Amino acid sequence: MSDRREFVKVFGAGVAGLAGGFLAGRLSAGGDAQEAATPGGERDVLRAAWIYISNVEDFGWTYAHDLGRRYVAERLDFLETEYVESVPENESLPVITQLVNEGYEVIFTTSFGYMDDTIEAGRRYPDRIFMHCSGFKRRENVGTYFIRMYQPFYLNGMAAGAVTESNKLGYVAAHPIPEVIRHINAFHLGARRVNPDVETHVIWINAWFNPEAARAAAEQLIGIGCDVLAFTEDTPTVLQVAEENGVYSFSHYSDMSKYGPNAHLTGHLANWGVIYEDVLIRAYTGVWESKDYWWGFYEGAVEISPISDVVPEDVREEIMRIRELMAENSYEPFTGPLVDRRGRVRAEPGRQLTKSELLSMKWFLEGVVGDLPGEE
Amino acid sequence: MQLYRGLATLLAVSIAVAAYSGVIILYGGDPVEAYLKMFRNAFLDPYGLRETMRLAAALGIISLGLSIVFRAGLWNIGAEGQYVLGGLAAGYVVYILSLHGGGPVVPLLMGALIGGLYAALPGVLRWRLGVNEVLTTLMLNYVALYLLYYVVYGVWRDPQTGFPVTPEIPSLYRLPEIGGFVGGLAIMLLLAPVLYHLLFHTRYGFKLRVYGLNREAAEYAGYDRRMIIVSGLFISGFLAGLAGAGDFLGSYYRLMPRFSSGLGYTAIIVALLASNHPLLVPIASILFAGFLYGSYTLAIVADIPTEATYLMTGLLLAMLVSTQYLERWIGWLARRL
Repeated sequence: MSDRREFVKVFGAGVAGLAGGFLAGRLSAGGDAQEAATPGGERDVLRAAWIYISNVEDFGWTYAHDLGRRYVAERLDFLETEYVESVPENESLPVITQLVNEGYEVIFTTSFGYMDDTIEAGRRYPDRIFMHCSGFKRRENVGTYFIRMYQPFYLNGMAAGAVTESNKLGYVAAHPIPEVIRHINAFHLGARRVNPDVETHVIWINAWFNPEAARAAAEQLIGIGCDVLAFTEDTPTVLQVAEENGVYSFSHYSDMSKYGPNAHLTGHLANWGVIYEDVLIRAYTGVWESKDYWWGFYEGAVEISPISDVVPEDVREEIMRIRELMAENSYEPFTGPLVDRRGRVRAEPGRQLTKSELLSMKWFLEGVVGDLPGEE
Repeated sequence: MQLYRGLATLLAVSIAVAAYSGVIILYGGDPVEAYLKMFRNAFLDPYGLRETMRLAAALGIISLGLSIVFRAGLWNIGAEGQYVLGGLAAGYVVYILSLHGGGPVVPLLMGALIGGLYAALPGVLRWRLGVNEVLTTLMLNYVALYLLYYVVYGVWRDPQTGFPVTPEIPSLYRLPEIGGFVGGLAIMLLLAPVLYHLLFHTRYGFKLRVYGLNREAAEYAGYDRRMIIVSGLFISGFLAGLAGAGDFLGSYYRLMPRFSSGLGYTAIIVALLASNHPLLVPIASILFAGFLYGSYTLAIVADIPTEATYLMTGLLLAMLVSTQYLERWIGWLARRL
């Protein structure tokens, strides 16, 4: 027994030694990534990485960001891109650290929940550039960006107001955060522009990605008589339910028309690529500075889908006219008089809501129906 | 026999690693390069090491408790829920009771205590009604998870942002920064010999082990079955709750829907990897934490979806569960040599 045991021990030690030596050799050969990442000096490659909250095939938020990544990957020949998907909020810092170690110089973190980790990363790695989407904290090497999605939502609302017969619009909404509230108010405002009698009924599903909850909410809204459904959540479910029930809905973030060819009224599309292109060219040429991007039609960061023929021609023309005005930066949906549903004046006639008012919106316009947690 | 078990574990891990290497190759990566980069990011990078050790501490503390209860032949599959409930109980002290005295101490102990009671509950069901603890502990995970959703999406949601996270806790409740890293690790390293002593050098530990090896013999010897079942589960729940409260007070400072990304389940694998031996748990948990932390490196350098981490943990679990057979096979092989 003992010599057999001896054999196993010696054999085991030999294998371990060989493996150890091999590993040590490979480890000391590592470090190539760090060398490639030397910032400043001459370089012909810029390495950029994206951190996503969900899967790139989610067909919503993350998918749209990845379209933006692919847009720059194709257009900028000096660029190498990478992404890490399905990163929970409390794990972004480890991912950023590993991306930095692998030599990525510009890192985009695309969820609000990554905010504190992105700021901490900026502190740890002062020679890297970080861009955090949808947040409000910045530092010298951490910028922020967001798109004015409320602009196309306003135009979608106009289309909805024109086709509704019940004067009841439905809205399936993810979370009661200012971004979503802004979308709902803009949608309602657009609808009221062409049809002063509409109400917008809101149901919160408390999830960005939950097709079952989205379906239940959409069916409930149809049940109370809503015949146009808008949504801010990351699946094409609402459009599918609309198609099944003969009502109307929209594309969200990217083209979803194939999920409801008859139900598809128009849509609100994101074009993150133009922001990414601007950031990366500046980073590559060394003129990047921390700032907040807040881009809309004027900069080409948002768009609407082709408008269905169901929408009367005069309304379609009006939508395109307003779209042109926004593209020239001479029209803002959130312009007074604006009164919230509790009767408080939010903007006097002619005054536009400021950016900080838009980013902290916690109130519904008159005519929006449904609970709003934390309503001010 | 110990040697055979060690070899069997080694073989099980090797097979899992080899299979996973196949996955990396399928995705067009170089497994050796990928593993080396994982190692470098998880252990050689100062920030990586810090995060790996924080993860190892949480994982190790949970696994220590599991190694005790597994030795008694009781399958506590509910460490995930006990961890979450530990965080929730600490949150209750901070957000609702606002007990300032003692800073993080009261919420930390409250988390551990509630975690322990939450695990003792299936123990009571077991000795009173004979309900299988595998089912009850597993199902209670979902109860804890839905309770977490209830507070995060509802009553404790941060009114400032509207996002489904609770507000950051005031700094007076936070474990000192060193506490989240060195502190947690120190607790794990201190607990390991204590639990080893408890298990192998006390009458109580002897009873636990006898009960695990042969229930009839234990009962014939007159051991108090109720005490063994309830106390064994309580200890493991206490430690899982401690880890959950510790992560809340020392690392995240808030609760969110993904408060636990499966640590309570991973800890089961860690306990098995350590053959339920308290002195081996720290090593197994540090290795496994390195793997979990480094799994993002695989996503970066080999373009493997991060979800594939579950594949590796699944492979490892399957192989570890079959170590008994491997052990027998190695014994047979050794007799032939």
